[in-house]
Amino acid sequence: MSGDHDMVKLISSDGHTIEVPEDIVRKSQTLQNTLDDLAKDQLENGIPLANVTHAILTKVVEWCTHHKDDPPPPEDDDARTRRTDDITPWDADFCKVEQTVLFELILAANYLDIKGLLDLCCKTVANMIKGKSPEQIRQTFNIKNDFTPEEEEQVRKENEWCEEAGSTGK
Amino acid sequence: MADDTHRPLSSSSSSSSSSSSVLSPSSSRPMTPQSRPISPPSRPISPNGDAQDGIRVLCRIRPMNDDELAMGADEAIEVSGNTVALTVTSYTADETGTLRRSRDLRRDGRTYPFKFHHVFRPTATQHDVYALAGEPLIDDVLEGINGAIIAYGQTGSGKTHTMFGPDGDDPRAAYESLDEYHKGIVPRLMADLFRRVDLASDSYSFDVTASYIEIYMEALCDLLHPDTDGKPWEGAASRPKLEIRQTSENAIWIKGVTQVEVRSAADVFALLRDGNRNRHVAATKMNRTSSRSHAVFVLTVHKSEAVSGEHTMAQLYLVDLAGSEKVSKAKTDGMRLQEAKRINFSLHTLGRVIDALTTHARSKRSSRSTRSSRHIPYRDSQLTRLLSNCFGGNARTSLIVNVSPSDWNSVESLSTLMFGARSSLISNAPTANRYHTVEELSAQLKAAKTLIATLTAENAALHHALASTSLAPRPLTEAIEPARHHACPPVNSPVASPSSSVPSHHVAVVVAGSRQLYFSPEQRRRQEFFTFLCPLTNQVMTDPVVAADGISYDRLALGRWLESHTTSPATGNELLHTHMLPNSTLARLIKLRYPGTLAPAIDAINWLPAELIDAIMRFLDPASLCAAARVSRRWYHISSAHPVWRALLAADHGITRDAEYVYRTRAGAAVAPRSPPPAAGMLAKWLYHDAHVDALIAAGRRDPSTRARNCGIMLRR
Repeated sequence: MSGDHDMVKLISSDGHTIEVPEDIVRKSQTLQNTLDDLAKDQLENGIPLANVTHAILTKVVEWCTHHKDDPPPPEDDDARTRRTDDITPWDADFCKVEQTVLFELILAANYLDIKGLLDLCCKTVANMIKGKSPEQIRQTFNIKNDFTPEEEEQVRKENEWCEEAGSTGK
Repeated sequence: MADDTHRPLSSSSSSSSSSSSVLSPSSSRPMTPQSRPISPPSRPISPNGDAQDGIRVLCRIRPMNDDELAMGADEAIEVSGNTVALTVTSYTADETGTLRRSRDLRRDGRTYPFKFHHVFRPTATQHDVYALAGEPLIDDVLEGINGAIIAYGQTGSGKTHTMFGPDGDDPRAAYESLDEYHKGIVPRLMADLFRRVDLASDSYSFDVTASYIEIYMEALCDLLHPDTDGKPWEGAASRPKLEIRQTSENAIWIKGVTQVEVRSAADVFALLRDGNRNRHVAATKMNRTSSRSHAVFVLTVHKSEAVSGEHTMAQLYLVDLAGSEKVSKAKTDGMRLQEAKRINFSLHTLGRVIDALTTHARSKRSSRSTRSSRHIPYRDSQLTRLLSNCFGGNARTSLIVNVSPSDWNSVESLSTLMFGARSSLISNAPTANRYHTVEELSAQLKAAKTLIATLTAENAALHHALASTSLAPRPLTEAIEPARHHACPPVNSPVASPSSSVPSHHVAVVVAGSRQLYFSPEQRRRQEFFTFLCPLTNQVMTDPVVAADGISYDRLALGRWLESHTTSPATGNELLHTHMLPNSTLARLIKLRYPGTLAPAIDAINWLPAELIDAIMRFLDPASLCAAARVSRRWYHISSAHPVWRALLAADHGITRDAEYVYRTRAGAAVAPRSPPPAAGMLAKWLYHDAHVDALIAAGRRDPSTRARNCGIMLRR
């Protein structure tokens, strides 16, 4: 085995191939398992990623490259902080993308099992939700209100208690 | 005994068989001459032995073969009771194919212990293996419990010998062989099964059908199809494509597969022989050996009791997985390499499925969030979809891992043993597929007859419509109109409203199965169009999702339907769950055929599966979560059906409380009189409400049931 950086070929769902250093690929738990399970020469033609497009894969690699020296995220989920104000400027900049791209990043991060990236994107979306009224949330994400009026009233009542503490209020 | 020839540098062939299950809604079954209709299964009820059942993992070590002895290989495996200890020695092949010991691999020289349900030493007889791996399944299958026997291991490790015996390449010979001593599991199992069937009391009647499928490079091939004629791959276009489907009972069936009735073990082996002949022909044409494909033989056993009308159905899967050897050793290149990657990929997916299942089992108690965001990637390969019942589903599974004893193969043995060890952690939940009373059955029969009548009428109407429509392509809107006008009026459908009429969607399936109609590409495209229509709206779907009945609907229409119904809009059967799985293949196809015609997906965020929206909600504060819960039905359900509240409390506010408190707080506020909250923000708010509700309860003014009702959400403990 040679000492220099081993490159791994990743093939996106739309057929593009990119070469990524192995230590960066290993940020993804899914790919790490793949690397461990397959022999070196089986990887020569690349690992196909059926759920990730080229554009998204490039973003994911960009993130992993920037974060390659991060310590692994803590295993225990419950201990993980729920804060959403701890996003670094680089990460915040990274997430300044169209909503659809952000959601695709979430899907890709989940598929590739990259915890840090998944958390980052979820936090970003959470920040887009925070402090908004239901109607504002619907507008932000283009969601249809499919409650019947009665249901809407019931759901409103159920959640009434936090209304004036929330930043929206009626 | 387990002495099949081991040829280290070339793959020896193994063929065998295995099984998958096939249960199917009657409307979409292919009508080959031999195939028999199977009534749609009703919900399995849990009978006696449905306790959680691990997969039974048995390890079989074959004796050293001549090659290994000649090369002076050492024993790498020590057996002690049900434990094997494997010492790994790494070899790599140089350009000439000669193996050299390599020093730099991290596993070299280490010893790994593994524990299994049973370990068969090289001296174990075929009967020993059968008694543990095969015989126990017979009772189960006759009681309506699915069974599976899966052989796993590197090529040449004795899979075929274990499954069939020394003549494994010709199962018929293996069956007819007089060499009782060396017969493998399958011949013994078939003989015993049909002996039991023959001996059963006259009041029972049995229907046994068989299918034989091969999975090669992620494609399914029906080895028993009469048109196959030794051309299983080229002929593929002219016959219905095989598709793996899942019923609402989570039974797996294969759409379009040939089912042949069998009455004796000899029948079974005649089928296996025919199937293997097809397999070999395909193998020759594709320059491959059968050990490079996965073979699945499915035996479906229906048992009816004449007096009570009780009916059970069980499937027995006999699975021969392709070898998972390292490419370097097998000198694999070109096409072979592609194959090896695909094979290893589906085996790899199988490994991931097992990983996910066992992680799930381990973390069941400790980490809620891991569980919710962990999905089992059954759908990532055809193999795992087909075997989803065998791993973690409704089946009693015997997994036999075959390994070589020599240090020469120790790396492969290690991965084989690891696979087996991980598999043994999986819990299966076999339940008898028992279908009750005559009343229920006759109700089903009646429904099915109505459906057939309606479909026949509609089919005729559609033929009429097709015949009278020009073949030129038309814009989408025009295409919909004829479909409506021609299809609906002539149908003497018992139901009038468009939403409940039989979905046009089904038509394509019926046509595909009936085999009498072959269409030009243009006509086929027209047929295909009907699969794009939502059965509820009769419009082309913008966001197709699959419901529990296995049929695709438009997400919005189905969502509205499920608000007021618990049954399938198309079949009228009770739906087992109300999840909507995105049908991305159909969505892509629709987009391809009708680019730009349709509105884009409206709410991009709802592409995300619920668990990911839930993951986002975890980062919300309570106030925003309440707002989010009011956004839409989907969000309401996601936010309230999950213990995210407790996580919030613990993480954001540093206080730990029983989840019920949180729910109670939430519900209590709906009824409690509003009074000005203390000024100190959210935490005080929570505490205030807790105290308030506690006081109300103490005063006896509310009882828990009111709470739950007002709450409208599930209380989970």
